[in-house]
Amino acid sequence: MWIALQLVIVVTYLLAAAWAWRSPGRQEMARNITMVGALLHASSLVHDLMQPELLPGFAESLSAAGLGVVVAWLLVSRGAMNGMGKWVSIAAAGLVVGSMAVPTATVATLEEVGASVWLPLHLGLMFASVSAFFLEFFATMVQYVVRQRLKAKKFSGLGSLPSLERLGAVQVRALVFGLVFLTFGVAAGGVWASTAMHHKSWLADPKVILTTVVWGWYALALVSRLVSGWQGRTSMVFSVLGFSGLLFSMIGVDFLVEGFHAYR
Amino acid sequence: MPTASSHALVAAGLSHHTAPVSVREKFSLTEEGVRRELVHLRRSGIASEAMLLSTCNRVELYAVPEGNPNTLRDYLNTRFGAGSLIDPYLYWHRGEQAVRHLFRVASSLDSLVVGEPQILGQVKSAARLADESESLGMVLNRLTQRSFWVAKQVRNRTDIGRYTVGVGNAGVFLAEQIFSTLKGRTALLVGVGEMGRQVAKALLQAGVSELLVANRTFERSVMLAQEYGANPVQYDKLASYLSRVDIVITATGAQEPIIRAKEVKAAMRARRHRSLFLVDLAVPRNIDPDVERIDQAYVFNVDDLTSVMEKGRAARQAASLDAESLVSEESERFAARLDSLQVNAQVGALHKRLELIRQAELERSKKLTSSLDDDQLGALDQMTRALVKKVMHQPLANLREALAKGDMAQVDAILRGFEEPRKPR
Repeated sequence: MWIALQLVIVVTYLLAAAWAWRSPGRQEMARNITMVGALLHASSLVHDLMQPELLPGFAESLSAAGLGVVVAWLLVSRGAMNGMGKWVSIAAAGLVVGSMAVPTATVATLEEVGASVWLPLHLGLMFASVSAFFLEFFATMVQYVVRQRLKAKKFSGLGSLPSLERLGAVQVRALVFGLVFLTFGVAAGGVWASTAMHHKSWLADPKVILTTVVWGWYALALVSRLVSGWQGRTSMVFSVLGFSGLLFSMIGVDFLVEGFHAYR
Repeated sequence: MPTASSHALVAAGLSHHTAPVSVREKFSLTEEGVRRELVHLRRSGIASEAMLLSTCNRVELYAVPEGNPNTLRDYLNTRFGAGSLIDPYLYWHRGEQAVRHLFRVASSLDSLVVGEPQILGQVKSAARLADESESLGMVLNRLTQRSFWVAKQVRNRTDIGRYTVGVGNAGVFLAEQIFSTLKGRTALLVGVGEMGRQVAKALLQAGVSELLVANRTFERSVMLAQEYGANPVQYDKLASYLSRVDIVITATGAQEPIIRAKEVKAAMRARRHRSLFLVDLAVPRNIDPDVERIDQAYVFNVDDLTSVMEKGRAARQAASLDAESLVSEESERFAARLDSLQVNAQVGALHKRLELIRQAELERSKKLTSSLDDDQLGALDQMTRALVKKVMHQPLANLREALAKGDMAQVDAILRGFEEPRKPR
């Protein structure tokens, strides 16, 4: 049953992408199909989180990231699917497939300290921030492709990609959303850790330290963008380094470094 | 009364495919001229329905002839005072071919620039003029409405309108890869050459809000600025505008670059690295090639615009194959209904004629019926109506049956029974 639902979600996202691809004049329908996919996806995740025996782990993280990417795109793009939207749908389908394929792994500390009301809040906000930063990274990559094609005077296929300015606007909005979610996500995690663990050693947790560094890096990227107007190569550097750091802090640290967030 | 087969829809005319401009201009009609001709066609009994489409690339008559279709050819030869001059350039389509022709024209498949959107508006105007001149009957009304629908389907279901043709549109296409909208943008046109004007005009049509014009001779800038509702600016202060504008189009005869990399670099800081779109249409180039290396400066020359146009043309050509098949399908479908439409139109005309005869007879008997009161007159009116209805009942039933069987010979035979008697010579 669960697998069937995941497959339906994947097919819905792919259908939305195919629709946007084949009928550039019918974006409304592609957007509606994406929204149906997102609703099914959200229902599936809520259902999973409500299972008392299931502690959220890496698979749920991937699936939630997929949902977050779609929701973030629908929020920041005002729904146009013909350009980048179809790729977002495909990326979300890929993340859902990934969540089905990865082995079950959960954070070891969860089993020791147990869940709390702060846990879903912390996880939800962190997933939302990762999704927004993923979207920012994605928009930066597409912007790089468009810029390279324009500079190299290779015009084929450009008409189906968003304009540089539109991609820039998506980047800024995604950065703002990502930073806000990350700030509150870290704060919610801090409150949970303070109440669940009566010692302050969690502050020295490698994931907490690295996430704070990533937060600072993205804040710097946003300030540089808004104050100096840096775009192009500079925003590319900020985005690639920021997203690499974020991925490592969100996934790599959990598998490679001992700490409160380590998977087992 | 003419028969169904003699009423075959006709499309006749000449276009850029068959006639040079020197011939086309002889037949071109103003709006007033179109109205006059439509009234003439109807009143002289040449066509029961007619529509004239006159654009710079074509002059076409769509008509349902009243009698011998050859009278239409005579009309074209004599009315335009060209004698047999028109014959070598004229094309004739009948029935399904005429339907297909209008569908292709409205869908811009027969246009000089395949896929250009203006032709649909021109066909709509022609239909409106015909309607206002009361020469649009049941057949042409349905035909034109269907042609608008087919044109819309072609635009929505194929990629024919997606690709860029024309130097102005190529400029707009490239600008739209950089800016999400051209509304609120400022463009600077340097030089008053034809190609530069075309790009500037297309950008203004696409939404550019302000156009600045600079030329070595300030008076010419002022003249061009007046033409486009733009603002003339000093040629020797070009660099100072680079921080303000979003788009620069250069098309001067200068032998040295007039926009240098160091000026653009300085402007980039002042404009907080907002993208700058530069189109250099001059040969030799007006923009220093080093400007292309600046991160947010996007420079395109005349070869780049040509490349965009060629890609657009090739893509439109490919898309036109899909469009042709859609048009063929719809033409066949419409043509299958054409006979019944034409017969219905004639039955409508027949009813009108019988009603006129009935009223004329009642009028003639006015002296005899003057002593009747209103109730009796009403009863007489009802009786004559019923009489006409009864007389017509069986022939119309036979007509419908023949039409349902597709027996057009029988349809013609029935209609011939109602032909007006020829006056003895």
